[in-house]
Amino acid sequence: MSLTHYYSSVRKLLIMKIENAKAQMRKGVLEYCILSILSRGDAYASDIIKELKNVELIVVEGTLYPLLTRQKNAELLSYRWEESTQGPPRKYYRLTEKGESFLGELDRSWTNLTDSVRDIKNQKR
Amino acid sequence: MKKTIRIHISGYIFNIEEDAYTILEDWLSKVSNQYSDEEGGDEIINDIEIRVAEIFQDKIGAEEGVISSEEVHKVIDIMGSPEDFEQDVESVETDPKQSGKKSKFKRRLYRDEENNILGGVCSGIANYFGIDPLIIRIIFAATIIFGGFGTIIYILLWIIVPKAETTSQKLEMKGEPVNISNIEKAIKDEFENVKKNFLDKTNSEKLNKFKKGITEITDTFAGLIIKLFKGVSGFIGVVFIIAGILAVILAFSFFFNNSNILFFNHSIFNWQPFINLFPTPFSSTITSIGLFLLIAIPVIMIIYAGTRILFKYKSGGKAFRYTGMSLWIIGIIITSVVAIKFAENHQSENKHANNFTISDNLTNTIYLSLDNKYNKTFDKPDFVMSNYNIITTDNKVKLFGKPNVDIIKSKDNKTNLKLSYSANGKSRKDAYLRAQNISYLWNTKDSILRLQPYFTIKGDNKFYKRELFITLELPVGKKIFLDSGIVNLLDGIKNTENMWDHEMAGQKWIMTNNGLSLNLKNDSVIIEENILPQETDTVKTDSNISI
Repeated sequence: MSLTHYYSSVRKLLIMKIENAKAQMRKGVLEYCILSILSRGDAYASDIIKELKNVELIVVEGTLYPLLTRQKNAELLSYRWEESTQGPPRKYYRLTEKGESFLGELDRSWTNLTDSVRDIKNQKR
Repeated sequence: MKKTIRIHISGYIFNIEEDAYTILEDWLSKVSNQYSDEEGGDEIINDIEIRVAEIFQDKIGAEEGVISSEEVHKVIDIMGSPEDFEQDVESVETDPKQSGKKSKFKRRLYRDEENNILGGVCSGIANYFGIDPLIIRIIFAATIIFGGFGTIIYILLWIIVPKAETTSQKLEMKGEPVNISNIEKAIKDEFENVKKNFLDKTNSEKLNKFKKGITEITDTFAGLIIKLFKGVSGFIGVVFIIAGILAVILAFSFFFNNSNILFFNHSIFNWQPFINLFPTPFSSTITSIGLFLLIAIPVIMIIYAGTRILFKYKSGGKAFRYTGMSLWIIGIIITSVVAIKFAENHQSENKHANNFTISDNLTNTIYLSLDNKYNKTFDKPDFVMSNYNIITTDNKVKLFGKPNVDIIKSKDNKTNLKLSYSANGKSRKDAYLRAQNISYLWNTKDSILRLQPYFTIKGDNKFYKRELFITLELPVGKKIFLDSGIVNLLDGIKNTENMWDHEMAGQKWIMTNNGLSLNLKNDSVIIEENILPQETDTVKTDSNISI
């Protein structure tokens, strides 16, 4: 392998790792935000998507559906079918009790995390 | 005008254009693949589909709207591509695909029964070297045709080389590292393949098992038939291809004078004799190139198409096709130019004539017969092209032709023989000169007129149209006996019996005002059977003879 080939492979690896880390960060946060939104009230999937897009947490809608279903399967959410005048019935999501307590834990963990990070960044040398 | 397909997504019916459908279907199947083996995966897919249907509804409104690829792309932009959904990234240690490249991991020779035509020998070898199986197959086909030892080698390899069965073997065959993630990937791929063909909609386990069994049996059976069919059609395909190649080689040797191709001498089947007919060596070469291209290129293209279909060769080859096309067009152009030039060279016609009075005597019967003293090889020409130029070769090309003989009423009460030589050329002068090159022999002795069956060309043997019209003029009342040998030269003799030329042979005729007639008046009793010596005892020949 030539030297340039080696360097470009290393660069590619690095870029992948950065994207990895970003993705990992965003992933946890997304799930946290879904639960937060639902804690304010029941909502349709499209409402959740709209809010997340507004704050630019997601770019593509497709990201949401797997997360919603997984959380539902983990019994953090539940849904019921709501008839709508314009088309077929839509899923109307609701936070379960399990979800509420899970959310509470996440809240605590988030506060801890952000406090710690702030402290580190503000450390004077 | 575009074709539309009617689909439904989650119960919504849509009309969608054909090309948009392809894009949408591709995206949906990617999504489906991604979540199909996950718990609750069906629900995820369902939710996505509902959302997609919603978006389409918004975009095109009422039922009569048609989804075009623009709308599909918008939906894909909104929803994202399946890779974007998952923020999961695989562990960084595995490299992205190394397809086709040689890797430094251990590589072993196996037969590849997933990519096989017969036994997967060629695929296996190709995998080992990391090249396209097509190349190996062509090499094998060539060794089989030219000698046949390839067959034995192939069968040997088929028996000896094991087929790659386990996943690790398959990976080894392709030289990919045998570690957990690769095995996992390979198993996943295979599982997906199996799943696609698997019937999984029924509940009952027994029914499932039964269906599975039937499917297995039919699959094996069908698989055998397909393999057999592939093998046979593959073989036939190869035969066609080889035949095509042979044809091209033969055409090449024909046009370019290479008698010793393919280990046998076929010097008869050669362009050589024709070369002399062209005005210049350059024009004959150009013509042979043009004709060769014209004929060979389409054959080559067919061979090429055949190999592509046969060996499932997917990628381009555009350069090949364009080159072939241009060469063929060049062939057409050359042939057209040659044809035009040819027409130019032959556009004028001219003739010159010789007249002879044979006899003043009205009473004797003239005997018209064939002169047997001619070059008998002319009777078996190597090549005949219309009536005018018959070519024969004994290491040389000789042109000759058949004259046309007509018998008509004479205007001056004498028996005359008129010879009219006609030829084509670039100009009238050129044509006249060429007409002078026509050489013909005839003679008369006593009352017998002997004509030779062929005229020859002296001087250059180039290909120009040449004709000889012989007219025998008989005064009214003159009798003539037509020998059967002469009949081939006769050309529509006018006669009162309405007979064809060949029917007139072997009979005595008399010239009347309306042509020859069989009605021989016997008012003057003249003994016709004996040939009396005549004052015209000379042997007359064509003044243009050269020996």
